[in-house]
Amino acid sequence: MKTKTIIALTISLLASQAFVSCVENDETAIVNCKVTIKNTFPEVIPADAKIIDGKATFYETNSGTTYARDLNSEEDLMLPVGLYNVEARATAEYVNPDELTVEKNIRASASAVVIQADTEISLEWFITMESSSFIFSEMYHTGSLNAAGTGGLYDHFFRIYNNTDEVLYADGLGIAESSFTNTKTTTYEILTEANDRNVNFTAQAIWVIPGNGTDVPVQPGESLLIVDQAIDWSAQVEGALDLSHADFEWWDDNPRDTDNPEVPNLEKWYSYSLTIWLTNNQCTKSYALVRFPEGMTSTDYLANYRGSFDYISAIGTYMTNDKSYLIPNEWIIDGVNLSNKEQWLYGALSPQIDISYASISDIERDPNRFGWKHVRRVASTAPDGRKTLLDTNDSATDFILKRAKE
Amino acid sequence: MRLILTRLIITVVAVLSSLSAMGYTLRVTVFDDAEDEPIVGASARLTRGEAKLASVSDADGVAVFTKVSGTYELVVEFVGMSGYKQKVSISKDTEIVVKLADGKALDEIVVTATESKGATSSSKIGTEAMRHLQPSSISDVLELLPGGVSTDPKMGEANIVHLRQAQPVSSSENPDYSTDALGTSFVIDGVPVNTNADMQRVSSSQSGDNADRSTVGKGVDMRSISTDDIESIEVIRGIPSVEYGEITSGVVNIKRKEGVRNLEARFKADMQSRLFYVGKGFKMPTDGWTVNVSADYLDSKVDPRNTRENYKRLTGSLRSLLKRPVGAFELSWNSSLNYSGTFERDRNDPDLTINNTVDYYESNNNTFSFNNTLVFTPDKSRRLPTFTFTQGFSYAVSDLHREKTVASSRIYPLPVSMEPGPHYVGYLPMLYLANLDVEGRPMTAFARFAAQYRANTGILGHRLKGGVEWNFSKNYGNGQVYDIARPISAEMTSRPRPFKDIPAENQLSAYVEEMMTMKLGEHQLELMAGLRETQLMNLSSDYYLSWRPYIDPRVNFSWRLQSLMVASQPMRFEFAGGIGQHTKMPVAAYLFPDPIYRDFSQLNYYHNEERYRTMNVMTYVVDPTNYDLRAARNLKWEARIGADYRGNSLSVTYFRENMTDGFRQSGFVERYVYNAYDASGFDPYAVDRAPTIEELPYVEEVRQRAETQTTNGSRTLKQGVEYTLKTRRFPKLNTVITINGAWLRTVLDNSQALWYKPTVVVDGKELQYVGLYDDTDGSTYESFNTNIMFDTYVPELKLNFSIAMQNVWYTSSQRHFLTGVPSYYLDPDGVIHKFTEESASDPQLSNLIRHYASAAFDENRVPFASNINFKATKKLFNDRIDVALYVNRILSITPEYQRYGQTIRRHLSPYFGMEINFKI
Repeated sequence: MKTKTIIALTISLLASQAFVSCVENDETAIVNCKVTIKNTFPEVIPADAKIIDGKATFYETNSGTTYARDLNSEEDLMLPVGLYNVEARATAEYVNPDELTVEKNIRASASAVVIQADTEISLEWFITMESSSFIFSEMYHTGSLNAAGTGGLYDHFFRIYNNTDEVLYADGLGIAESSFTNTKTTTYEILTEANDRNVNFTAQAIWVIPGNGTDVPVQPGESLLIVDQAIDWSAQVEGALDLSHADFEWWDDNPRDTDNPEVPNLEKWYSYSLTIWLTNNQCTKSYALVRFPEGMTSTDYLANYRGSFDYISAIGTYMTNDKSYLIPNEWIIDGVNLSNKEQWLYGALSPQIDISYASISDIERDPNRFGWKHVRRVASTAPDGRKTLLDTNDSATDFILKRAKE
Repeated sequence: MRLILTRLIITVVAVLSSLSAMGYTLRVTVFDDAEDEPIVGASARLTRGEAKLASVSDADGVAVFTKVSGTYELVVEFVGMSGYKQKVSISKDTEIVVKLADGKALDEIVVTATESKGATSSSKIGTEAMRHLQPSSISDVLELLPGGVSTDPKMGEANIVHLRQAQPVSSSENPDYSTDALGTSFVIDGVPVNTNADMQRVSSSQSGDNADRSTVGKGVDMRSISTDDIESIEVIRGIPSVEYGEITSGVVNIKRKEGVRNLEARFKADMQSRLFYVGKGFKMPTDGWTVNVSADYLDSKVDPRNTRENYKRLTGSLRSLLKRPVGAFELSWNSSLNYSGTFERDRNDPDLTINNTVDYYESNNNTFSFNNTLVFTPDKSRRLPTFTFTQGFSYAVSDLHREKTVASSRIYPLPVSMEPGPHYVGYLPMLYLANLDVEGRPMTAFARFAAQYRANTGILGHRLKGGVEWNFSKNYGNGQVYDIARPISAEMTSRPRPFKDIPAENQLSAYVEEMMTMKLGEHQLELMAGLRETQLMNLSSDYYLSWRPYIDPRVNFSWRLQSLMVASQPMRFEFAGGIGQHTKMPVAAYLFPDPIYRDFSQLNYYHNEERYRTMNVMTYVVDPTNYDLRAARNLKWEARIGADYRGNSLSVTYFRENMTDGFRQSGFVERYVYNAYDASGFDPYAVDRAPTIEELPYVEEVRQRAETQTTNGSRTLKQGVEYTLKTRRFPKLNTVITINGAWLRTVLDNSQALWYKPTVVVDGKELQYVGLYDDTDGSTYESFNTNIMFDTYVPELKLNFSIAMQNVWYTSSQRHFLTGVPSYYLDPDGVIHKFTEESASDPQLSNLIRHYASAAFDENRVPFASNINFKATKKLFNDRIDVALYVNRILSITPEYQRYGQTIRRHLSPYFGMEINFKI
């Protein structure tokens, strides 16, 4: 849904005093409306597919109340008046051209749905993909408390995990940070087609693991620790992490950055700034793990994927950004949207890559967020102890928050 | 035209024929009481019953009535001056001297600015207008100028002046277009305020630390000028006399109260501040000697809920005026000793701070000045010049203190070398308390010797003025004083420099001006033409500006037409116009900028073992001085039409000002070479020590950067129409309607091609190409407003109230079209190439293309908004007590509007204040 539509709908919701044919409960003054669902399936699923085990959660953003509803229920779907974010998952059952009955796991989401009268909600379903690759298993972007306890340190890191049962090579793998912010602070409508999140991921910084293709093997269930400064932070500030034995650090050619000679550096393909690249400690950006096409060099990439874009800002001014590059969605092997609950608006990643977001806190700039990291849940543990991590392209489900320092 | 002439002839004939053939001659000489100069063009009328006679004063200020006898009522009026009304009996040839004072006419209270009737456009604001406005500082007074609307006081930031500008440039935005404010001269009792040595700021690229409180390169902070001692303010918007120098835009000419006065006290409170004032004028035992003392205190909370951020002002002055004859002259010696203190504080709330961290800002400024003006006025009988000697001296003790707990978020290597070359550097600690002081001691001195001579030749009156002026400024402060190893912000990279190392700025100017008045029948012609020459002395000969003379010619003329009788009342038209050049020399901070320090990492070895850690940087010290810096010059012209009829007046001015060489921070390319040492083959464990650069292999690295220096690259083009229509006080209703406003159009853009390098890292290195862009920025701003003010005076109640409706019909801003494509680029070897289509597809060069949405050049138009302001003053107890209150935006009409499908709503809240004045 486009931003301007959201705003227009919000306004009309707030302005409207007349509720049409909704059921009013006199005692509580809650007005319930009947909601019908219109299903739209992706091309491979025929329109007459049957939905089984359909479950939807309706999150009312003003009250913060969540309503769970069964999509296969015989009863009418009733919901109180409000502004909703909808998450739905189901299995689609249909008969394919070979006359075989097929079941596919499908998911859908919709944001800023206004219910103020009996409403039809359109759900665009898509098939969920299961990953068999490297994934982000941990992310630490808040940092441990600094020496005065006033803010976070940059003992940030990414942990990249081999979630398969075979050896994978991490060289050439890219980590990209979104240009777009996922929160309401910079509400905007992107006007340039190439920057549509369903086509390309718009990145403002791209770092790549060096190597010739087989230099950085990662065993199944093993991971790489990639940090800003490979430093024993705990020796500097009590309670911080020891990252001196990281696998890689992102070093900026800047006299104010440090370089650990024992930890190799990432290659910096692109950055929107000359300053030291810092991951945003408010956790409002998205990160993607990128497998560039075979043989693609930085020069090839930089020559062909510039991603300048136009947008309308929250205050109604036309803006441009010419410090961005495009990453086609097909190259992305994993991605995570980050946000806080208060300001979540819209993910920079395609919903097929991440349908939700990993939340850092209920409120923006929560001073208590420091010291917390995002950790992926374990889906299963093999007899040899190797863990398979949960990857349902739904970061809200896949990730939990844990203390960075146990 | 022919019709007018015919009417003129008929009028003249009618007046002549009505005169009786017998009688005496009455000569009325009209003087400006304050200036002690004859007033040209004052209207004098004699009435007796139905009989009316009219005359206009000539170049000597003389209005002549011939063949009159008996008792008449004599009325003398001149716009902007108090009127004169007296019964006269004429039984012989009579001479009457009428002295008119500034300000109100008979029984008249003027609560608005008065448009001047002189050759240049200016607004005069008197005591009554200020009392009605209830200002806290002079920045509130600017509301009265055409185009001005009421704004809330902004006591948390420097208030800089903007005349005739569609988009007020705030102190923090658009620093590249602040020359206009810098080039507005504030003259207090004949002595200009010199801000050339102001360098009070925290220079830190990262912290942006209180940048909006600094006035370096922005002229006078209007918050610091109190209004209570002010008798009148004249804001010259048009082309000022060549007496005034160091200007590009205009002059704010402030005259303070003098002479014997009652004890006056004022207490004012508004939503942000409280103000106290007390002042008195004494008569001293010696004849002709008066002394005025006054003091004023303002305590302002930037946000009334926050007691920790405030702005205080304390001013005091002792002024003496001594008049006595010296030979053939009368000496008027004006001497003043002044103090002005401003105290700003901003600290964090101890109850809210985490772990007792400190964040404290304090800026105290104590300015002392001692000024003298000696005027030698010759006896009326002698044909001698008037000599004026003016001396000004000021010294300020400015101390900015910053204290902050700095908790570093990273391990920062800390290059601190003041010398170029390779250096080993240490690391910033993770927690420390940082202190920073900015110690400014600007001293200014001013001296002017001026002479003025009047002569009449036939129908021509001449007034010749000439003068020599010397302006000095130097800062004797120590500048930023801090421990370079414990900077106020961890990211800070600047290094200290004492202000006193910067040479003094010495300026010598001379001017000569002729004002010619001609009386052709009842037509009055006035022509003022002058030249001003200025140069900077004792500047090193490397500078273009060293002894470089600048000549400002300025011409103003006006033509007051003979009165037309309309419904047996005179109507007068006036045409006026002028053209002039204006020059402002750069301030010390522009002429002698701080050196730029750049460090490049040569060896970065943050080993896990602390004893093996080392870091080496190559330090460059770049001098960004622009020896080719020129003065900023503004060419202005304007044309005005004015009309007066039955006490109603109309004035419409069109102006155009074009300054193409305003000061700007522009890029220049600097090339840096250093060695990148490769320590990968070094085994610290084998030798048990850190590596040194001497033992390591290296490759030479080159970096090109676009650094900034002050240039003359900003253009400010101002155009507009200013209008004021003021009615007489309607009888019965006792109401004056004043309609004023302006249509203003301001273009701000770069006037020179600029070097720019996008701050991006491409393929592991910061972009090594620098682009030369013809169009880097530029916007057009427009605004159109009309203020309608009804002010009513009820003499029975001694109550004066006004309702002002301030309509802003629209404001708009529009960016100029930019291609975003550089015309040339500099490659890493320092060679300039043309930017071609091929370049556009190069992975590195394509990053030089700046992308703009086509809609970014759409006009952003904000539609109609209107505010209603209410003000009232009432006099009590034989005028001994004056109470006043005001409410701005008691009602505001701000319709919502659409922009790109979004509904934009505007909300304005009222602002109010009240005060009480005592006169004992």
